[in-house]
Formats: sequence, structure tokens, C-alpha cells
Amino acid sequence: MTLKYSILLPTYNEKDNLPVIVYLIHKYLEISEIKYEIIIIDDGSPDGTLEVAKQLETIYGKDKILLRPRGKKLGLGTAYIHGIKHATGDFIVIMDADLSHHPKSIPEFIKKQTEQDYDVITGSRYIGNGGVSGWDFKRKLVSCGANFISQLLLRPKVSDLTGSFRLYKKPVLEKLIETCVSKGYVFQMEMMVRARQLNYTIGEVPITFVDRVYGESKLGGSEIVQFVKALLYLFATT
Amino acid sequence: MNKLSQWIFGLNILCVLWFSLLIHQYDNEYFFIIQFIPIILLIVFGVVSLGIILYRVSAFNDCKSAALELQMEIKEAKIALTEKGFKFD
Ligand SMILES: Nc1nc2c(ncn2[C@@H]2O[C@H](COP(=O)(O)OP(=O)(O)OP(=O)(O)O)[C@@H](O)[C@H]2O)c(=O)[nH]1
Ligand SMILES: [Mg+2]
Repeated sequence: MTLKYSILLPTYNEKDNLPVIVYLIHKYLEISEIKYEIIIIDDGSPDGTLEVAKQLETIYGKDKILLRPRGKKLGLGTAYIHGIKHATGDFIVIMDADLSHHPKSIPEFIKKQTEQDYDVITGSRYIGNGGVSGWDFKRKLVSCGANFISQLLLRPKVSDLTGSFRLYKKPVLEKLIETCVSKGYVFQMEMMVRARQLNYTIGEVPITFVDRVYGESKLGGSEIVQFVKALLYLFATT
Repeated sequence: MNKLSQWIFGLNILCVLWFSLLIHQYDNEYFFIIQFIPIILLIVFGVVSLGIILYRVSAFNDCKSAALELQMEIKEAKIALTEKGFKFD
């Protein structure tokens, strides 16, 4: 029996990025002979992302591209929950659709997972030849500072807490989502902390993070407030 | 025990150690320094932390080639998708 991988792509205004990411996923997984499906969860993007997704569905087939749109923007966290419900794979890959995460890492995640039957594989910008592209000193400083403080306070044994390019065993992800309380993007951090708490095994693979080329950054200043709140909450409760 | 309790526990032990030093070593010639141990430790901690963070920032890989490669692949994707009948607007 070959294992199947479900890739969740939540999208909001990603009409330029979506075709490219789908093409690249197909390119890298097909040559590695990996069985997969791509689940696109579009939250009523006004830029016509859904029309783009429909074209891709016609090109790649309904067994490869699953469209599971929602009427309006309901947030990233619930987008994952919505996507998992429709996933038929043994494993779930979570990644951003804005090309910050490169699909070439997926076969590396899979290889790493099979090495020791890990429950979770997480991409890390901080190890090996992983890294970022297009970041200035200030952004690197904020990132490294935030990472240092969270490492100090939470000791998660994961080098990149806030990254969101990961592979999970499906039941593990379901369990983690059920356990996590935070909403918004900080739940990526909570997932790793809970995974440790529940004694799941976590493997790390270096990834390169390239800043989005198309589209606007949707996260603002409230991000930092959210991050600090979540950090303190986890510090006091886990 | 959660992380907060662990920290409080650890800090308590350090406090107790320091107090006992203060009480028993008041005739020690280094008493002046003993008085300021917490502040000294705090400063050392701050400096070491800052050092680690700055080191990591400087060691943070800048993946210029990854960005270039992606640019190439975006072009490749557009050509291949157009051939398959995809309509970019
Ligand atoms: N379905 C859905 N997807 C979302 C929503 N918000 C963001 N996304 C998608 O989630 C992924 C990550 O969001 P980004 O906006 O790239 O967040 P980020 O990477 O932290 O920040 P930038 O890349 O700087 O904008 C992208 O694929 C977005 O299109 C949402 O409310 N619903
Ligand atoms: Mg992004």
C-alpha cells in the first residue's frame, strides 16, 4: 500500500501565486512518485483566486485538486480544520500558498518522516542550510529575538516555532488541533508546544523562506501583541 | 509543573542561596560584591542573551540563490501552464 499525502493550501487573494505553487507541487511530487492531493481552501478572495483554482482543477484533475472554498474570510486556523475534514491522505502537509514555502522540501519532509516514523516534521529556517531571503537586519533581529525568548521560556526542542511548513500524521494533527486553544497564526507555535507535551516525535528539515513576490502582506502590528500574549499563556500553562 | 512554576522554583533557590551568603559572609572582604550578585547576574544574562541573538542574526543564512531559483521556476511554471491551457489574465 502506498501512502498518500494531503497538501492543504489555504488561500486569500493568491491568484498569482496559486498556479505556480500547484505547478511546483506537481513537478516535485510527480518525479518522486509520491501519491498526493491538493486541497485548496479559498475564503471568498475578491481577486478571483477561486476561478484560478477551478482552471487548475480542470488541468490536473479532480482527484489531484480538491476545491473546498468557504464563503467569506474566516481565518487561517479554521481553514485548516475545514481542509482536514476533506483530506483522504495518511499525512497532511500544511504550507502557505504564497511561495514562501517551496514544494521541493516536501519530498525531503517525507524522507525524514520515514527515517524514524516521526509524528511531525517541521521545516526550520534556523538549521543547516535553511534560511531566509530578502530580509533586512531589523526583520532578522525581530525574528531571532522572538525565537530566542520563546526557546528560553518554552524549551520546545524545536528550532523554528513560528514556521508553518509542516507535515503531520493525520490523526496526530487532528489531536493537536483539538488540543490547541489559540487562534490566528500563533497557533503554529502552540501546536509544537502541545506536540511535545503529548510526547509526539518531531523531526526537523532545513527550509528556505523566500518572501512573497506577489500580493500584499496581510499581517500587521497586532501580530506582535498576539505573539506575546500566546507566549505568556503557554509559559504559564504548559 | 508548568514552565512558570519551574522558573519561580529556580529563582527561589537562587534567592535562598544569595540570602544565606549575605547572612553568613558579612565579614567577608568580598561582601560588597556579594551584595550586588543579583544585579551582576542579571547584567551577565542580558549581555550573553544579546550576544547569542546577534550571533544568530549574523549566522542567519541569506538564501539569494533560492530567490533566484524561484524566479526561474515562476517563469517555467507560466510557460508550462499556458501550454496546458491555463489562462493568465
Ligand atoms: N483560507 C484562508 N487563507 C488565508 C487566510 N489568511 C491568510 N491565508 C493564507 O494563508 C497563507 C499564509 O498567509 P500570509 O498572508 O502569507 O501570512 P504570512 O506568511 O505570515 O505573511 P506574509 O507572507 O508577509 O503576507 C497564505 O497562503 C494566505 O493566502 C484566511 O483568512 N483564510
Ligand atoms: Mg506568507
